[in-house]
Amino acid sequence: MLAECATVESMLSPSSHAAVVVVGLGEVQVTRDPEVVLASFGLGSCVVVCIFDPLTHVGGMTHVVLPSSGNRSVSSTYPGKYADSGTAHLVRGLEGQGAVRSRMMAKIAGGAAVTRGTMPENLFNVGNKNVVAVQAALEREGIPVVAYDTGGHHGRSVWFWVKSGKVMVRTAKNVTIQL
Amino acid sequence: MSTTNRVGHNDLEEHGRIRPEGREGMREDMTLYRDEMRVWSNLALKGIDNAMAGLATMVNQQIKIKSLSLRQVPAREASLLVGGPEKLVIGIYLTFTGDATGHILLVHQPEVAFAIIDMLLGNPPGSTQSLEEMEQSALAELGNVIGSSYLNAIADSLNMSLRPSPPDVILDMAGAIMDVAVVEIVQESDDVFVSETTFGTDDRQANGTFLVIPSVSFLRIILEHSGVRQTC
Repeated sequence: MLAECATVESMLSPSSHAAVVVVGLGEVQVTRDPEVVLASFGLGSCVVVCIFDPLTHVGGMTHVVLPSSGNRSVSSTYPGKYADSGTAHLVRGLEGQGAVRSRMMAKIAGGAAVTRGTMPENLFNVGNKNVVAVQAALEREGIPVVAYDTGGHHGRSVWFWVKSGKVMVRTAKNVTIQL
Repeated sequence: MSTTNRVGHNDLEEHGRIRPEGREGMREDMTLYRDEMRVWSNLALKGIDNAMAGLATMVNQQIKIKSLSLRQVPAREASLLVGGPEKLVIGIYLTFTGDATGHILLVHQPEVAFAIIDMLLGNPPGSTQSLEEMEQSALAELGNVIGSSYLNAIADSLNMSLRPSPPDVILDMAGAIMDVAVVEIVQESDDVFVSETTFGTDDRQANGTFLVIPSVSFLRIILEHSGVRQTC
């Protein structure tokens, strides 16, 4: 599933006509523009969910921060903040752009533990909890996770080519893999 | 959970409120009033003076505070404070608990952190090239001194108890390190309050950024202790 590959920079060269759109913490982006590359930089415990429909080439990304919204209201500024509500928001957005749920596939990355334990007690292992919550949310939507790069102890940056569904992940160790 | 109150710019001016890095739609309980801002600024200055004195003693160099600001930034922009989300940095991170909680983060470019390690260990400049166990211990000790110096100054001023955690020393992307603190704050707020201090030596060998990110409750508690704002 994972393979060492060309640098991200070479794949984003001017001749590629790629337009990078950054998906910040808690944001959701959906596009049907085949030239768009959705990207998220410096993920620690956060998890990026990439979903695409290979037939219509509609794709989207959400940048999840926390596992569950619980009974909190979800701010319109950060609709992707929680794994449960953020994933649902992304799927509804994709459907709104013409993607069909039965064809959707997901790739996820992130959920690292960058500290060796220094963190507020209620957030212990939050990266792993985010991954589990995203997987559960995708299962509820009936969307298969076809590739993932999660856990570990280092930050990641993620690029998602919505046209092909290709995802590239580069870690803080400068290792690049393709999902 | 309080509701979000949207207030226009004119309202803020009329009521004498200050928005350090203000945005529309901030939460009412995250809005600092002028007097409260002064109290917090004075406290932060005391803490930072103490922390930088601790740093100066440890590296045996004069440390100058280059800038000091209290800012309110959207959570998604927090990593810009330390060079941008992908920037590789060395962070010395600790939390604090007690009468109030929050996060302390000392951030250096890797080569600067290595120079500081040389100073701490008494090595010739340029000796340290990687972050192994010994080097991490040296920076953790620095984090201990700076964190406890900062917290002691604030705790003594307000007769509070604030306890630092053991520090974690992390070489990673700035965004990944900031996630640790930001993840807690965004449970309660879309914005992050941060006290940002940049400091350094004349020869720039020990430049760095010292961030204190209080939890939402920290500011409320600080203000209650200072007597500026009554308990709700």
